[in-house]
Amino acid sequence: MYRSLENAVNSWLRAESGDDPNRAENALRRVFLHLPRYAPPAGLVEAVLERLGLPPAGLLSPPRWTLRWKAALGVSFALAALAIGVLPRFLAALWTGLGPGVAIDLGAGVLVGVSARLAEGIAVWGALSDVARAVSASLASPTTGAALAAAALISALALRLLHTLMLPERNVRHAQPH
Amino acid sequence: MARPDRQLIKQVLGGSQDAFRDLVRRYQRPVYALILRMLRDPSDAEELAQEVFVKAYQALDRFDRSRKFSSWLFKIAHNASIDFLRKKRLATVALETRDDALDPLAVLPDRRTESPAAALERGRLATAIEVALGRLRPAYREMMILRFQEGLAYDEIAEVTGLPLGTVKTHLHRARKAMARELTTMGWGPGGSRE
Repeated sequence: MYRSLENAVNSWLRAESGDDPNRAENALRRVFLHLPRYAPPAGLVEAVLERLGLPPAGLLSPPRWTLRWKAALGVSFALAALAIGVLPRFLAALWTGLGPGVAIDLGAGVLVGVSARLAEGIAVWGALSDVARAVSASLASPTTGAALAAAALISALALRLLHTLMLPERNVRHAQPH
Repeated sequence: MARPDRQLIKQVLGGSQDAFRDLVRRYQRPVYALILRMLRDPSDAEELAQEVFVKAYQALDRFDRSRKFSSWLFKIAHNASIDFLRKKRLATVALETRDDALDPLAVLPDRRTESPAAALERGRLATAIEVALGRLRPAYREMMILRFQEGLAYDEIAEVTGLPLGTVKTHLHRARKAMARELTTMGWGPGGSRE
């Protein structure tokens, strides 16, 4: 890292003494790439918002769609409350109007429908478990196990490399007050 | 995916505080770094960076959206820094630029990957560059940062500083030469004889 900064400085100074402005500009740009990037102090955003009299992040008014959902929920609660008062009378009228025979027919129809759907669900579940069984059998073989272990090892190495690459960024600290 | 500046500005003008927070978060580093290198005092820089964003918020409805937001923001930072330095110069007999005002060693990236000697040498060189930069006139220093740290084009720097394009180019040329001279005097460079 030192070498690359030193090289950039040397090539810049050489370009300056050789009166080559284009090369000097490019080299100086490389020098600046190696200079520290002074990070703003933590809380700058909040301080700006406070100076403007705007509420901080947690206290911001909710977005419009949240308000709309809340309004819809409130209206449905109000309708449900109203319906509770009217519902017994409505059900009684319905029972008298339809008669017990029709109600039993309807109930039986619903039961048959639900059972049919359940049977379809069970068939799908059975097919899925067949697939899962086949997959687990192939995973249990030594070849697949070795391949999985290799993949895990490669992933771990890749993560380690990523961590190493990210360390310099993470270590940029705030400028200290003198 | 990050929303473009133009969209965020539209949302801020529509009353979204979240969008303004995103804008501040996006530009706090370059604005703070520019002001810090101009003022060379972290607490003054923090105060002024806050002020810049407050001014930007208050003037956002007057921002010409056909222009680049970052240039407009840098212009506010430029004006604020110049005003601050002018007031400070009036308040003190002479504005002294302290060579140790910024400590690059405190913020240099991770040093664990190189030997202690190399890390120390890198720190010394980075400090020397900061010192050379700090000894430039504030106007030159600002242009150097905008050009080489923030990567602004000459015409953008002209827009930020309000100077003609030719003057910007001349100033940058002189600034580069002056900084190179400082470093060479300190003994850095090819065949340097520093202690």
